[in-house]
Amino acid sequence: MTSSKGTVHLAAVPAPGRAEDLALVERCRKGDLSAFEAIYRTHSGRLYSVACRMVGNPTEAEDLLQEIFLAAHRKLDSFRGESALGTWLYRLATNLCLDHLRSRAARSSQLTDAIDDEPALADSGSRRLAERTVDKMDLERALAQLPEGCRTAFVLHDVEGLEHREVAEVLGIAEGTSKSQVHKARLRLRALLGRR
Amino acid sequence: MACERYLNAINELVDGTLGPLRRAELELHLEACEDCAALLGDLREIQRATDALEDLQPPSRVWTQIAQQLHQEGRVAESPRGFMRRPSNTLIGLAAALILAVGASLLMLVPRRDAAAPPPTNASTAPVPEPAGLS
Repeated sequence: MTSSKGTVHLAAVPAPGRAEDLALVERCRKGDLSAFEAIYRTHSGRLYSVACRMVGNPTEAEDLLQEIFLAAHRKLDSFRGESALGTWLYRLATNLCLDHLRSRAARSSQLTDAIDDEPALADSGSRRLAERTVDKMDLERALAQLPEGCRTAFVLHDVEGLEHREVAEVLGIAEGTSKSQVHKARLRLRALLGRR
Repeated sequence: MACERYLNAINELVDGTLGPLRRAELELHLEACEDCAALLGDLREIQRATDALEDLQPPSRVWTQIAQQLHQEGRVAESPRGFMRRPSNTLIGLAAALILAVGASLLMLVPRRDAAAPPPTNASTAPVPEPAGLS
């Protein structure tokens, strides 16, 4: 991942009706905690999943989820209902996750696209995945072991369904780089899962 | 080992973005190359597993912490669930009034001894017959 200030603009998130969103937000603005809890219950699973998979650490994802909802509450005045509330929250969440990854990378001075230095992993040299079913938990664990740069691109593209053009825009990288990062993530996942 | 030359094409086939000409070339290659065919099979299985991933659920403490923080910042009108709230004077007054009203109603319902006692009957003063067979 680069250090550019890319932000998430695109996310196809199904959401309840816009009028319902606006009514809930209005209640939140008036200090109604139960309305905000209803928003949390609806969207926290999806946002926690994105955070967890992007940062690869459940504890950090918990802190991020808290930060996301507190930021959302503070910014509710800026929600005008032009997009669905779920999309608005998703955009906020992804941007906070990216900020978190950037600051973490800055703290540790690590190159987030270190996978570029990895050897080609076209040969997993292990059990073939196609002959068995990949367990969800195994996949989650393998995801967490991916280098940051390719994990973020993989999560945004293969898990969240963004196009390479959109991933490139979000991460501030070239579209070709997004493709190569996703491809490398898949090969690495194949190697990790093949060992299990 | 899968052929380096076909790696991108295999990934694009998985993505569904491979053009028809390159796709035809790749399919020919896959018939002859076991390693590339195995790679394609594995990547498709990873894609299937990825598509099947479900939302993770955050621990309940996350909401508790959010609610506490909002309460501390004075951004919500009510205390978060599970908090001990100091009852307002109005509530205390209402509770006291309710207790008094219930107490008074109960007193009204309890019959006074002199008013509710049944009048003496003849049966209570009638002589008790002696049991048969004793005489």
